[in-house]
Amino acid sequence: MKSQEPTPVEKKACRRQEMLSDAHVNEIIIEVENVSAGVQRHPSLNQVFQEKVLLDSRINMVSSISDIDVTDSQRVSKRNDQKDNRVLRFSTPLNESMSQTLYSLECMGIDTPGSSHETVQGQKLIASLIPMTSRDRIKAIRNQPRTMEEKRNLRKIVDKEKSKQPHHILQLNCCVQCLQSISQQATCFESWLQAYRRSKSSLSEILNSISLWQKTLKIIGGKFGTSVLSYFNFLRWLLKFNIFSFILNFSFIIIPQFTMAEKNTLQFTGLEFFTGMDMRDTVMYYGFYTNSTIQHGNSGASYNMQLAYIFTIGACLTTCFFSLLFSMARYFRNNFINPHIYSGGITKLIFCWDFTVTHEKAVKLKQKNLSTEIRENLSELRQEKAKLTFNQQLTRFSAYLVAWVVSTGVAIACCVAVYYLAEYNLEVTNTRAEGRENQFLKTHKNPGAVLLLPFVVSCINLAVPRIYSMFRLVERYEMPRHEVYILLIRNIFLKISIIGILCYYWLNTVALSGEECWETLIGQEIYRLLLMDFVFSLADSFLGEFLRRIIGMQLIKSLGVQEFDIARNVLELIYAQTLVWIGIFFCPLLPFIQMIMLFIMFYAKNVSQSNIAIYQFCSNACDLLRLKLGKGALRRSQEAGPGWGPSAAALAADERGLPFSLQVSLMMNFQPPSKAWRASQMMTFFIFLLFFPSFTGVLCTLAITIWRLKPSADCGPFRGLPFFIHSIYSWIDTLSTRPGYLWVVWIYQNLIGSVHFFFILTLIVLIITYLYWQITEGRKIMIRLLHEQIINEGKDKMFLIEKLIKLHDMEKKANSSSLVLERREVEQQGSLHLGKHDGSPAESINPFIFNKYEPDSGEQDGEQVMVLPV
Amino acid sequence: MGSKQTVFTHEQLEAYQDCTFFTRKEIMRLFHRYQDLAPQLVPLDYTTCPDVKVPYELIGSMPELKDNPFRQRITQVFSDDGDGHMTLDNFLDMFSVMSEMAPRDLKAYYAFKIYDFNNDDYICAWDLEQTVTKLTRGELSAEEVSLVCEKVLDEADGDHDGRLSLEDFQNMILRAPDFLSTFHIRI
Repeated sequence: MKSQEPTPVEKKACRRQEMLSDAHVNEIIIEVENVSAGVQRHPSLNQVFQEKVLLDSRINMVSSISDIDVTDSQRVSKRNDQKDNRVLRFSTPLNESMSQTLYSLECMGIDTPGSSHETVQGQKLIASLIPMTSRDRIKAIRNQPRTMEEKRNLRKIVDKEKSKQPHHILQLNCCVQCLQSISQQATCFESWLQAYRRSKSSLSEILNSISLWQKTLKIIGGKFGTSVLSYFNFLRWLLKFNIFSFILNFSFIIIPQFTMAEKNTLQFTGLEFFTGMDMRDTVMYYGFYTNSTIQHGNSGASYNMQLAYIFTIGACLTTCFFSLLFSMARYFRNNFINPHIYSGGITKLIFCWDFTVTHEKAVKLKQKNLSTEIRENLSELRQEKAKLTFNQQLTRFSAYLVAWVVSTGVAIACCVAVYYLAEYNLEVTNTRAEGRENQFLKTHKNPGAVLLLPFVVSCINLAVPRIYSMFRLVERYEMPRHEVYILLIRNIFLKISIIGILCYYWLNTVALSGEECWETLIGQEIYRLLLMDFVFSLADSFLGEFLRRIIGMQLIKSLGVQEFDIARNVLELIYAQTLVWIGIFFCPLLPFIQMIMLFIMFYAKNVSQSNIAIYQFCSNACDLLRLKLGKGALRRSQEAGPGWGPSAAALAADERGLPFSLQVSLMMNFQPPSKAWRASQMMTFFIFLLFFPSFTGVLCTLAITIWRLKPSADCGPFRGLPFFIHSIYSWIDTLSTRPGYLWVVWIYQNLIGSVHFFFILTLIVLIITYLYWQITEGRKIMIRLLHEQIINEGKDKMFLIEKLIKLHDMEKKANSSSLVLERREVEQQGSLHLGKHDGSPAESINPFIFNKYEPDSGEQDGEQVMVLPV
Repeated sequence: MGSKQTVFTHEQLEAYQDCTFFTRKEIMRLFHRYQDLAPQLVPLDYTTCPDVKVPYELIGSMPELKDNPFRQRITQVFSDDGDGHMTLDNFLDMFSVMSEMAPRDLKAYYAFKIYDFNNDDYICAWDLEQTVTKLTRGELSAEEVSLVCEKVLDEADGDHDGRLSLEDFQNMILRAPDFLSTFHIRI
């Protein structure tokens, strides 16, 4: 109608383009002015669609011309000769650099014609990318949820803009020039940075290539899923820890000791390997190290063994502390982003399918487990209302009580037994040491006596957790999760108290017993404990798990089949690592031993987990046996179904019968652990455990050793000192005589040695913690409010949509009654419309599209302004 | 390494490195995996950017995807036309998103797309039913499935509009720490 020439509003739009660089309004407003007469003259819907496309392409064009000139925009206006009166008011936060990019944006695929919204987003993105450093930019580009093609184009454009940028400065005022010249310099650095980045990425490539067991881990993940994988990851992490400690110890303690060229007296027989007795005069143990200052040649460079020893161990533990702390913090951050709404739910089950699992059987099993778990979850939901009677509650409560009392009692009894055994053991060793000359025969008759203590401890560690896990028959927790956690707590209590009692015995009995070299004795004891533990867990994973599987599979069906018990295995690792940390002071080579053990353990567990061939063989043998036994066995195997879950039993009842049921049980051997193991959650928990009772306990023990105990008089680097810590004191004393090192003395006296400093520091830390805590509380309230707001917004949205639909219906009615002549057209459009709706429900509800597509809403007067969220 | 480098120009490789989470070596490895899927189809020279697509049947037969219940959805989401046929770019994109390095939001975005079976930008009850059926191999009864869907919507639908938007989904993912480690395909 009135648009034979550029409408005034379009001119306005053009004017706007000229001022774009100044505009700072954060939204696009697409104003849709509905004039009834104009719209109703539309011959058909097709044209409306054309218009829409045109409209959108115009949006693109309009954006593209922003930096060209006005003549271009006039061209646009000419193209707009279509009769319509939709007005674009365009005001985006376009700054100079942004408008530069608009043109180039047109070339790339980001703005699909038809979505002005996308275009603007792309422009914004580019504008935001340009000022970034190259590293951030690449990161941002990578994180874009776009296709490769788009990302590549984006990268190209931004790079081009970046290189163009200095050129444009000339057009700007001088103030901006200053700023830009800085950025120009920055672009000069850019190339350097890029080179640096490349070299860094190639370095990480190399590091990646030497990262251990990548392929094996992939296979494990494919077969057992993430949760078992997390065990192996934990193991690998510990291994790296130990490798680091070993390298540190080796280079700063052991190599200097070797240069002393004192003879390592080592008579090696089979048993000595286990008892560690005759290695006492090697670099293995504390007692062998010298307390002298090593000095080579006349260069004057000297190496104080005492200081080297204490500082190396200190550095080792400090590094462990920080890396533990940081990884713990990282896990906590990832897992407890929103702790107060952290709860189990069915949603997580649905959307957290483990994509790492690639093994066919594992996938099937996983699906089966998942459906069982979902069923359980549903039944939990249904049961929630069902209340127990008072009697039932009473029995349950008393069962819990009894179980707790018994488990604690067992743990305490174990501790007492270990303590007395250790004291007895010490007496035996004492007599042996005294009678080394005259009772030579007697000693050699029973050299393995020292192995008794580690044997008993390992037996306790092996047997008691299994007793604990039998408690579930009595307790019957409704939630499997609770059961797992309670089992875990009991096991930790047991292990930590055993280590605790051993520490008490070492520090309180062995250290004060007046032995000639008690540090070495402790070192040997720890070595034996560690080795025995290793042997036990090896035997356990090879023999025990294997036997149990056979038994579980064939003989006692109610036992069910073995699944990989992550909790027990991880606790074993934590236990061993605690021993290593305690022992590192008494036996500097312990990380090396642990390193080898972990290495072997990895393969052992791996093999024992995926030892298909053996089981296949066994089950084939049993298959034959059962075939002989006939159908009776089959029926029995089905009756034993509950352990396998109802679906497995159902499958076993398949007409394929026997072989298939065996196949199922075979698959069960590779059972990924039960559902309660949510891997990352567990990892957080395990690292926390490693930190809290274990590492902090070790620190306490070593602190007591260093500050309170008297080193033995005739051996070790600290011989002759009243306390270990006196080596540091005397070092400070010597330093204070040298003027060059006075700052060290000052730091020591005023910071490390000063009570006031620590008092103030603690106070400050407490205050900061308190403030952070308050901030967290505030944030919690904020989160709650925002959550409520989201809900309200949702309600608003629904309400508005309802209103719109109602209006739409009313208009339709009005249309059909008043304009009989145009009814046919309207109906045509309406039917098309409906088809559209069917195709995509979203559009039918989305108010924006709703309105844009609505040619016959013209009856309604006035304007409808849609504000697009940008 | 010298002979391998001729597959891509230096710039191409650099672009790939900047647009994915892979190192040069991994890109080459992935390229060879891709090439092995259809040796007669994919040329060994990519410097001219040939327009080659490997059909879904071959992509879906990779051991990494073969048994994945969502393999069809994954390939559809990452392919250009939504038909599952993939160019090398799509292929790299897919494994980049599924790699260990990809951030949570990116993963969540694509996971959302994967679970959004009818591509309407919302996960509605129908999508959920599809997901549950795929996850459980149809072991649950229809009643149970609908109960599950109801429950999921109840738990995760923040604005109570009866379906999950991307924001709802991301919010839910924040509460599921396992997601990061499980939405991951090792290469």
